[in-house]
Amino acid sequence: MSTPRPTRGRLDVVSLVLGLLMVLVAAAALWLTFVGPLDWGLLSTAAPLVLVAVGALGLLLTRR
Amino acid sequence: MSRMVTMSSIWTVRRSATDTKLAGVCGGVAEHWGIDPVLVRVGWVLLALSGGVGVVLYLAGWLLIPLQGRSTAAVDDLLGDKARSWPKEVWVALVVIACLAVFAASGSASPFGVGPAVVIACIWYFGFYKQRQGSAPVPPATVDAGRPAPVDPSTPAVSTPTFVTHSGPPTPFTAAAENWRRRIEEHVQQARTVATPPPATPATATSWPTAPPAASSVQDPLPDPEDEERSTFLATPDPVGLYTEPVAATAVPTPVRRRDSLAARRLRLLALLVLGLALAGLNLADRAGLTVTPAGYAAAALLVVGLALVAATWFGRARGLLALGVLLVPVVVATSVATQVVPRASFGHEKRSYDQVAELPRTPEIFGSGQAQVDLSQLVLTDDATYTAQLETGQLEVKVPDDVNVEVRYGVDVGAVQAFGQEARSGFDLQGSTGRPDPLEGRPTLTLDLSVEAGQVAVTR
Repeated sequence: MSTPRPTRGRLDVVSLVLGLLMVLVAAAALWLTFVGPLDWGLLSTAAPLVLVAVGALGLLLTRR
Repeated sequence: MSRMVTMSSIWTVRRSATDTKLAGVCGGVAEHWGIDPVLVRVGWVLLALSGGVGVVLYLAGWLLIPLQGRSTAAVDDLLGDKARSWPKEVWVALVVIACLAVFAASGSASPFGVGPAVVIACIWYFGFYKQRQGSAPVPPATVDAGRPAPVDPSTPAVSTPTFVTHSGPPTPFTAAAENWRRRIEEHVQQARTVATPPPATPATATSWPTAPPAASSVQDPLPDPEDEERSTFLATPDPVGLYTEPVAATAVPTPVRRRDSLAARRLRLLALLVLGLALAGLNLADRAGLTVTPAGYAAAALLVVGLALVAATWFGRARGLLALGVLLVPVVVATSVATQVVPRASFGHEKRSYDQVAELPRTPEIFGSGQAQVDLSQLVLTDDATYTAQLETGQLEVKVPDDVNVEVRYGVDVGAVQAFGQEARSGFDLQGSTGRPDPLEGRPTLTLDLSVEAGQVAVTR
């Protein structure tokens, strides 16, 4: 996988977007493991919004 | 070049070596179709939300589409020449099956269903494919070097090009051009002879028109720039490089792997260090009494990798970090789902109590794992009766009434059998029966049929 590395002053948007998504998935799994069940009703609303927000952030930074 | 490619030539798609975010699949597709890569990536994300179909398609593209400058795909490198000999239809069928399987497995959990996939398919077909099919320009006829372009049959035979003569000293190029001109004249002359009767006019009348002689400086004091350019062209010994060594075709540059920056490598080492500390801390907590499931370990690892990727936004992404995260995501999801799906109620302490024979279950009573206590001490028994129970792992304890005869039939794969305060047997594959040490005359018999895979059968009074 030969991904061009970001030069100085240029952001690696793929790392940011995928890293944020992984952090969210990991947080949900940790919550399930150590705290309790997830509120699936809230999750069904929040998850699409978060995905849209992360995608918009990625597009914005890509076009910067 | 890519814009000349029609949509039907999808087998010529190559993964982009320059426009890559993950593996260059979207960049290659965008380059192949001549559209904005962002549109392709947005479409892929929407497809990924359609039950994971986009993820399967991307992985398939990663494996099956060769990188620019390479003739083999990743699957060829993995499986060798065998995979290369498989027909394309087999790969298409495998991809379709994988899409259907993933959609069947995760389609119900998809927040958008198949809606995005249908929308993308409609946009692609009606807004892109059909328009290109309808307005695709007819590609020009291929003209090989050294061969004349095919003659349009609608063109009159007499409309022949005007040849230009070179008045200067002959060069290899002008000599070759003169020979070529003669050959064309002979060819056309033969064609005319076959098609029409020989002309009655003198041969000189059918000779090819030549360029008009150079006008005198008196009549046209200003030279024609086109003539000057033509003369310069013909005066050059080899104007088109016919006699020089042909330059080798420029090969497609092979992508050069860049070495990770120092900051990226340090970040990777730091992430590994934190990952190890996190897992060790969880292990210590588990030993201290906090129950940590495999999902907890995997989620902690994914959290560390995700945070490292976020940091890599500014410090540079080291190779392997993203792959580790992508591998961890399905592990976290699978272990978390498994933790939620496995019934916890079956593991623990269960109690049953029966006072009447009619209450006894007619089918074997099945327990999961843990401790199962069955209280039959208050059971009123007038006739013989049977109670059957099975336990997977743990202890199955049955308390019997004191005023009846008891026959215990047991089956234990590994473990022990205790009856009335004494250990009857222990070990592997225990099969047999036992009864109360002091049988009662004239009393009914309660038969206990007890099975434990691993653990203990205990009968008490």
